[in-house]
Amino acid sequence: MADNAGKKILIVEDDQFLRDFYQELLTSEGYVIDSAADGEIALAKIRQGGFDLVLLDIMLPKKDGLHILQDLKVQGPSKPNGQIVVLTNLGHDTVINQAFTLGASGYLIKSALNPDQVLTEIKNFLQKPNG
Amino acid sequence: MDFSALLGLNALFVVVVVAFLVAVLLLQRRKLKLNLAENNSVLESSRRIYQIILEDLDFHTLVQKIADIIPNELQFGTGVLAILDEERGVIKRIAASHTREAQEAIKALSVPFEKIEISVTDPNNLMARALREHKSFTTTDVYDVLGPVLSKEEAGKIQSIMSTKTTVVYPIFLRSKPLGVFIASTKKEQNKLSSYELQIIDNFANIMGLMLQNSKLYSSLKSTTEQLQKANEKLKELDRLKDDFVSVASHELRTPMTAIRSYSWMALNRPDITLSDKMKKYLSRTLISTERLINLVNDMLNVSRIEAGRIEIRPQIFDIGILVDDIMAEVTPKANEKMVQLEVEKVKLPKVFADPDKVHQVLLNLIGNSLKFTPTDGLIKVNFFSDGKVVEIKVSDNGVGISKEDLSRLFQKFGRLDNSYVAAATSGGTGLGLFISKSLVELMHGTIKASSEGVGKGSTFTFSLPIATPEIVAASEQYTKRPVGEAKVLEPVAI
Repeated sequence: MADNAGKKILIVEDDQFLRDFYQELLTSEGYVIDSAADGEIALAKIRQGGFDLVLLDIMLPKKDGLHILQDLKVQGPSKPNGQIVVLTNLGHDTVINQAFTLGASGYLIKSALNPDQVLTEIKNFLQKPNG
Repeated sequence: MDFSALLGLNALFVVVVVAFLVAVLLLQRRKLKLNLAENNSVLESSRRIYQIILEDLDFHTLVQKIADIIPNELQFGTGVLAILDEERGVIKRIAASHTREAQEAIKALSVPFEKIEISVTDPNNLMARALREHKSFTTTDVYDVLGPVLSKEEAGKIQSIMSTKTTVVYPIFLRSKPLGVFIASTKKEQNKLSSYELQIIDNFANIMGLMLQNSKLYSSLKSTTEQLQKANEKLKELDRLKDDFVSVASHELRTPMTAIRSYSWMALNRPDITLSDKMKKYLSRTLISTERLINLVNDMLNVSRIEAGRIEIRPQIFDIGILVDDIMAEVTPKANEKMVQLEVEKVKLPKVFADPDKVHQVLLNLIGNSLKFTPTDGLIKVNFFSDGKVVEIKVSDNGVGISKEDLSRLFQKFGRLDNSYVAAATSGGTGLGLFISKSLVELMHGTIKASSEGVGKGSTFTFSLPIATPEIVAASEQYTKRPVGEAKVLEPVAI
């Protein structure tokens, strides 16, 4: 838990139950959590920067995850962020491929993972050097 | 008259007679020659005309060719093709020759060319009469083919623009069915038309019916094809919409399912929460059922993608042993949890030629099944066999087994067996995994089979994959499957 302490993670998730869930799960592991419930808030927060990891949903109100990635290409964050990992329930191949081309460094299918697996994946992403 | 004079006269007579005979002979020969030349031209023209039947079937192009034939072959000023519109009972002009005379006449018309419609019942118009009376006409007055749509005066004006003296009107029939009328006009007087020219027109009139019929059939075939193409586009669009719908719907379904899964897992696993045994049982059943529901959505997506041909097979040369080891590492936590032993035969194997992702999916499904249906302290084994053409991978367990009658429907959709329902319900199975595995193996030119000594005696699943021999790798195109439309990746198999 010690190496997690203070790591800042942004959770972009429009479903309130899931947002609360990931927030609780990750807070209990010592991470510092911020969250965004729609695409515009998410883009603003990512642009402020300073997150060690961003968990980005794709289907979002106001601006979807792919558009957020596109907008970030045009105007990046003021403080650098760590990796952006797509956290989605869309198994849609093209979407995931597009996300990779737009700079996402990984993806997690929410429904396929139990919370312990989500934690393992997040730990792995935080340890990987920023690609 | 003395004898010599008589002789001279005679000689003169003979000379005259001989000269006359020679002249007659020469004339005769010339005539013969001319006839031959004419016959030759008739044949040549006919050949060119017949060729049109063979060469061009597009209706629009063909009618234009028909209109141009007589002006081209016989230097007529104009050629016009009209067809019978049976529904409306009119003869409608559809093509005029590209000759200067025809084009200038069309420009001068007060009524658009294609609007000169002649009623088939018109008593005087020669086009109507030609169709009704089934015979050809020749006239010196174009009013006979333009009236009463055009007035006598206007027809006269048109005739002077075309500067023609003779117009021939031929009905077009195919096996006594009236199709249309052909008109051609020339500067020549009627009695100056040679038998050669009349023969060409005659020949042509006889086959025009056939030409038109062919191209009409072709046109209707073409429009049917176009309609089919449009319908196909529409279907593709609908298919895309369906895809979008399925993908959004599955996303929407999975979001609440993920919440249920996550919260029930949390309730069961958080160390700071104490649960009664009953609560634990209820929550774990909630969790298992939710996982099963998620798997069901995934597998239904997979089945629909396989059945729609959306799955791509990209074969590679790879070591099946290494892939099996990877999968064993993946399932070891679950096996440990269930206290089931895993055992893989170590043997040197030829490399196979298949799509590793799809083989991964199949193996995970088979080993996952064995895990589901093998009780604590059971054993799952993976063995290999090769005959030089294929590698067989055998996944066997000493679990619940399969009855003889159930073996036959094992690979069908939801073909799962009533007596193992309880096992399925507690295991998270979907009844689609084996159908998916069979489809994938067969897409990779392999076979899959199941065997069991009976209920309680374990199950064995064997599938084969082609060995990457030089011949097979050379024929890799045969082993590749391109997706219909956009390729889809399979949803993950849960174990």
